[in-house]
Amino acid sequence: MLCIFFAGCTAAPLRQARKAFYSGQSAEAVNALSEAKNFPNRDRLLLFMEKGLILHHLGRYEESANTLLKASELMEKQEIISISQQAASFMTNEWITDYKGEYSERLWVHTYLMMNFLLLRKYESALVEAKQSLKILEKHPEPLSKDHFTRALIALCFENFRQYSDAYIEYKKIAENLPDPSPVAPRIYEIGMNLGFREEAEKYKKFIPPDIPSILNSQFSILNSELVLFVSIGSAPEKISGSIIIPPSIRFSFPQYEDKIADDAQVSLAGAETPPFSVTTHIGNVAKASLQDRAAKIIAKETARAAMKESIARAVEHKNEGILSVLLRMAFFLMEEPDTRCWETLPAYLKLFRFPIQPGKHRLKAVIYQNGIRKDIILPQFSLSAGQKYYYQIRINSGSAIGN
Amino acid sequence: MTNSGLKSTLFLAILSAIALTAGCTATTRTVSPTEELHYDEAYDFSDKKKIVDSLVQPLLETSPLANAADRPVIIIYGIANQTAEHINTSGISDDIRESLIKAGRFRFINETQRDNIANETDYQYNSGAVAPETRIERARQLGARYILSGTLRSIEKEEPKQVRLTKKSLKYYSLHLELTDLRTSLIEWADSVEIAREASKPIIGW
Repeated sequence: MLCIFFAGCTAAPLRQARKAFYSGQSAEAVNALSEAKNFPNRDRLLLFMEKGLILHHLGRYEESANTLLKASELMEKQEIISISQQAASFMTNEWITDYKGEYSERLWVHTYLMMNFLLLRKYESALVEAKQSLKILEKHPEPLSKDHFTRALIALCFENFRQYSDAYIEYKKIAENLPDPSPVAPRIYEIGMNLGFREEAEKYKKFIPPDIPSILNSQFSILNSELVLFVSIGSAPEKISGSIIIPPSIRFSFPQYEDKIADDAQVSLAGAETPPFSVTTHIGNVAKASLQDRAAKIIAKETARAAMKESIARAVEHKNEGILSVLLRMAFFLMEEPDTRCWETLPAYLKLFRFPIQPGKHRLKAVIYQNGIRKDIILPQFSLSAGQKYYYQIRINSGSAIGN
Repeated sequence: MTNSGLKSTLFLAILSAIALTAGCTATTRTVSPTEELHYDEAYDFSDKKKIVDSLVQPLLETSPLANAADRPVIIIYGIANQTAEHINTSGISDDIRESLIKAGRFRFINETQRDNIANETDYQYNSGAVAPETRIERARQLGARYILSGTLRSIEKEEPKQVRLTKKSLKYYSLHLELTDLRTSLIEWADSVEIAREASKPIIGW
C-alpha cells in the first residue's frame, strides 16, 4: 500500500533538477539528473525531456540531442500498451504507469532536437527531426494547430535544402491557424511567387506589413544571409490536481494545467533596420489543448476506476465488514490522485526570429525588454557568406537572460 | 497430499522455474552479414547490402564508364539522407566505393582526407623535420572527372486508427544514384533501387 501512495510523487532528482534550473544553476540541475541512481522507469521519459532541455540551454547541444534521441526512442517503445500497468492503475491511479507525455510534449522533443541540430549545423539531421515532427502534427492536427514555432522551424529545415514547396505548405498552415497571417505573409508571398503560384501568393500580398516593402521588389530574399534566434521566455504552466467528490466517498480526479500568465518579452537586434520574421508559440495554450484532446479517454478511465472501487467497497460492506469497508473507502479516496506529471522546464513562450543580415563578419547585440527592464546579450562574433544562416538561442527567465 | 504427490509437485515446480529462468537468459549468436534479417520495417544492414549490390552491378555493366579503358577518376559527394530516420548514409557510399575499387576499373579521390593530406604536406615542407628527398611532390593530385552522388528517400504509412490488436506499417525506401560529368555537367548515368516492407507490431503487451 505504501508503494502505491509513494507512486504518487515525482522522482526526487527531477524535483531537485527543476528547482536548480529555475534558480539559475543549470549545471547542478544536469548533475542531479546524471547522478540519479535507481531512477524509476515510469518517469524515464521525463528524465530525458528535462535533461535534454537543460543541456540545450547550457549550450551542450550534442549531449542534449543524444538525450532527446533517447526520449524519442522511448516514446516509440511506449506505443505498446502494458496490460499489467493498466490493470494496476485501475485499482490505484495513473502514477503507477509509465509517463508517455502529452501529444504536445512528444512534439516538442522533436522541436528541441531540430533546434539542437540546427545549432550544431547538422542540417540533414534537423530535416529528419522536421519529418518526425510532421508525423506527430499529422496524427494530432487539432490540439497542435497553434504550435506555430515548430511549424516555422520545419519550414526553415526545408528551406535549408531548398525544398521550397514543402516550406510553402508549412507557412500556409501557420497562416491558416493565425488570426492574422501578417507574420508569415511575406514568406508565403515570396516563395509562392518564385514557385509560380502567383494567384495564391497575391492573396497574401495585402497582409505584408507596410514596414517591409523591400520584399516586393527585391530578389529572392530567402536566399539572403540571416541570424536565426530561438528565444524561450519564462516557465510553462504545470499540471495541477482537479477533483470532483460525490458523497460519501467517491472521488473523481483529473489533471489540469494551471492558469498562469507569463510575462512576455520583446526581442530586437541593436542597429537592425529590417524587422525580422517572427512567430510565437504559447506553450501553455498548446499543452492545454493537448490535454483537452485526451479528456474523453481520461474521463472514461476515471469513471471505470471509480465504479470498480465502489463495487469492491460495496462487496466488502455486504459481508458486514464495517471497519474494513470504511478503511478501504478511505484508502481508495486517498489513492485517487491525478497524474500531474509534466515537462516542467519548458518555457512559457517559444519565439523564432529571423533577422536578414549582410554577408560578412558580425558582432551583434540582442536587446530584450521584459516588464520595462532592458537586458542586452552580446552574441559571439561570427562570419557569414551569402545565403548562410547563423543560429543562436536565448533563454529568458525572470531577471535573467542567457544566450548560447 | 501423499508423499509421492508432493514430490511430483515439487519436481514440476523446479522444472518450471528452470524453464522460466532459461527463457530469461541472455543469448548471443553470430549472424552472417549476407543473411537477410529484419526485426522491423526500418532500414537495416541487410538493406544496405541489397542497395549497394543493386547499384554497383549496373554501374559496372551498363554505365558509360563500363568500357572506359583509362580508369576514370571519380569523387563521391555522399548520399543525402532525405528520410525521416537518422540513417548514416556514409556507410552506403563507402561500400559502393569499396566495391568499385575492388572491380579495378575506377579510381577515387579521397575527399574525406583532403584536410589531412594538406596538413601532412604542410608538415613535410614546413616543419623542418622531414628529409627533403622524401617529401611528396606538390601539385600532383589528380582532378576528378566524375561526381557520384545520391539521395535516400523514404515514405512511411501507418494503418488508420481502428479497433485491433496489432498495428501495421509500411515503409518504402528508394536510393537514387547518379554520375555527373564534371566537364559537361551532364548526368551520364543514373539508377535507383527500391525497398518496400510491411511490418506488424502488437499494440498490447505485458
